[in-house]
Amino acid sequence: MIKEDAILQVKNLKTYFPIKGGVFGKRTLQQVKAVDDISFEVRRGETFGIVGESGCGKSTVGRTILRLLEPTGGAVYFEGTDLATLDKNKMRLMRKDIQIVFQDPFASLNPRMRVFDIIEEPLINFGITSREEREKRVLEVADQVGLTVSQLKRLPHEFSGGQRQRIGIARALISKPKLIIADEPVSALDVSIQSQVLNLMRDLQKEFGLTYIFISHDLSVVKHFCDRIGVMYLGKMVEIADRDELYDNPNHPYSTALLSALPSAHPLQKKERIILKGDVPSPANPPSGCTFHPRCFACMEVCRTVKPVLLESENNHFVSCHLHQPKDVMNL
Amino acid sequence: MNSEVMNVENLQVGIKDDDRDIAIVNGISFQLKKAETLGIVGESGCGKSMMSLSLMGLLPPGVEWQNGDVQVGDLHFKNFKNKDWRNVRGKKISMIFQEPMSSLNPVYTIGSQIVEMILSHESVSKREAKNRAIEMLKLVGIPRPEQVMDEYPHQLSGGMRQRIMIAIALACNPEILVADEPTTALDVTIQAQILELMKSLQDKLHMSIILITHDLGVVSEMCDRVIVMYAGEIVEEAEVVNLFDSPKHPYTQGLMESLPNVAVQKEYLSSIPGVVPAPGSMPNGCRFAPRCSKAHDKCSVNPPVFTTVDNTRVQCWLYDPKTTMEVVKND
Repeated sequence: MIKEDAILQVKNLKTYFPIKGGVFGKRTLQQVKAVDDISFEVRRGETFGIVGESGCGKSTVGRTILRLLEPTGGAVYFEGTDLATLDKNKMRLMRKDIQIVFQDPFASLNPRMRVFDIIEEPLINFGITSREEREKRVLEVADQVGLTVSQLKRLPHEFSGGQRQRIGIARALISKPKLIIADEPVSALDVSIQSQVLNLMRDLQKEFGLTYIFISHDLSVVKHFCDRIGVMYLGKMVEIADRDELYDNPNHPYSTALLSALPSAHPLQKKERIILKGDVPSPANPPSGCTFHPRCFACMEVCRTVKPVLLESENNHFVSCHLHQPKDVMNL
Repeated sequence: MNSEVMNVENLQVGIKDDDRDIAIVNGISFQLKKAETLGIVGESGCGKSMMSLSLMGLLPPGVEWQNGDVQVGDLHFKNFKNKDWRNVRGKKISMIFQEPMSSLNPVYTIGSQIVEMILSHESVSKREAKNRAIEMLKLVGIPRPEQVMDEYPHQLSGGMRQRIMIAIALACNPEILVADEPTTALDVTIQAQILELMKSLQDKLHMSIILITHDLGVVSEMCDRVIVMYAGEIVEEAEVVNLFDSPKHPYTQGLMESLPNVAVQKEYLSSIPGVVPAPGSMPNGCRFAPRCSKAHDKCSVNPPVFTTVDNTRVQCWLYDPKTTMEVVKND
């Protein structure tokens, strides 16, 4: 699985959240396995998409990579360095290379700071003391994302959603990162604005050779924007494949159902729809065996008891499903 | 004429700013037919939600009904007092909202919220109302309805809550259901469930649905006819197939093109430059002109009027015979 061109390797990453209880609220009663033993790699210069429904742990993955949340186990290698074991100070400097753009452009910008200060702040954090140098860099980045000099003096509330997302992107871009984790960057935006922001992100990727991890629940946006895609369900990666391979030939029943649930692009084009029963189960109490089995239309006896493993089924197509597992693994 | 259940005429809703009327919904007219699903699409700020709230008499404080009328049967909503609205809401016309958690009362059980609706409109015993509530829960596909009657909204998932909202809205068998972004807060697999449910209920109960959404995929899935709104006005009204086959208004065309299409891989999406203008600072002439790639001199001078092209009603100068210009001037 390890390749030369991988910029990021995530290995057996686990993020658990304790549910505290007891008389003094100090005993850990249970654990929510938000991210449960997932592995994947991201290649330099590509856009790796993570899709899944709410509660599947896709945002937690992004935040754990950046150590905004502490991992419970596993390793995250960024250009050979294990981020999961770095001390706080070293990790802080590491974030110069890995930045994040958040979903909600209304909540992720400090309403009392001017746009200039918002974009400049990371430079101060990374120890660039010369004022002129910082100013030069802010103006440069503002120009790259399409903000005018006069707009830099304003406060975030004076901007529309799309403009605010541009500010968020400028802030991420200012430290010249190699990897940007974009956590639902266009979900809060209208379609016509969404396409402006996606086009901007693509331009920046070309210009600076950026690598993106693009987290989204919107399958058509992911199809448009990503090169490789991982599908998550209940804290696990259930399928990883190249974009066209995944959309043309989904292996996992959950991916199949997700793709069939996409509304059709034309009213006369009626699709064969697989409607999944029920809701996503609670990650605090996941089903036995394959966690998808209670909702699966192809559930077999083995699925109820044995956990499937993520294995390569075809070239570069990884799937975690008993339908696609070699027999000897099932007997283990 | 018989098949019309609602007639909206020149509806204007807005705020007052120093004695100046600022319209958020600026003189829109449309008809709703029996048992059809009418989609209303537009981006945020186009006035689609204000329009739907005015149909229910739920306008927020400060926003007022400035002009026009809505007619359902022989009722005219224009002169309605609070009491009149209460008799209509839930009985004739019901509404479901985007966020099912914040539209259910967290301190009452599911059962009591459905029973309340039935008791306020019909003179039936509590026992009977309770039985009807259980029936409704079965109808919207809630498993173990008897137990859910005694549960609270927080005990249910988002999809289940939206089912409860639908059960409450349909408890008194209204003629019209207004659904304001009913699946926007839900995941795709749950969205598919809810849309399927709404379709099957419409087949059973023959109500008309006004579906407000920003998602053209949902429109293509659900609607018979579509109204496209921009900056408080209707810019295009068409049968759903016509709208997707040949969108007429440049705004509709722009919206369609900026959607990522799963079937076609493009490197860049086309987008509409600029943003929706704020109410009160609307451009002269056509409101879309400053963002329109096909705008010409005429567009920034006079607001366009409706013309009908291939069964589509469109408000754009591109489709207008030359003479219309003179008519507007003489008016």
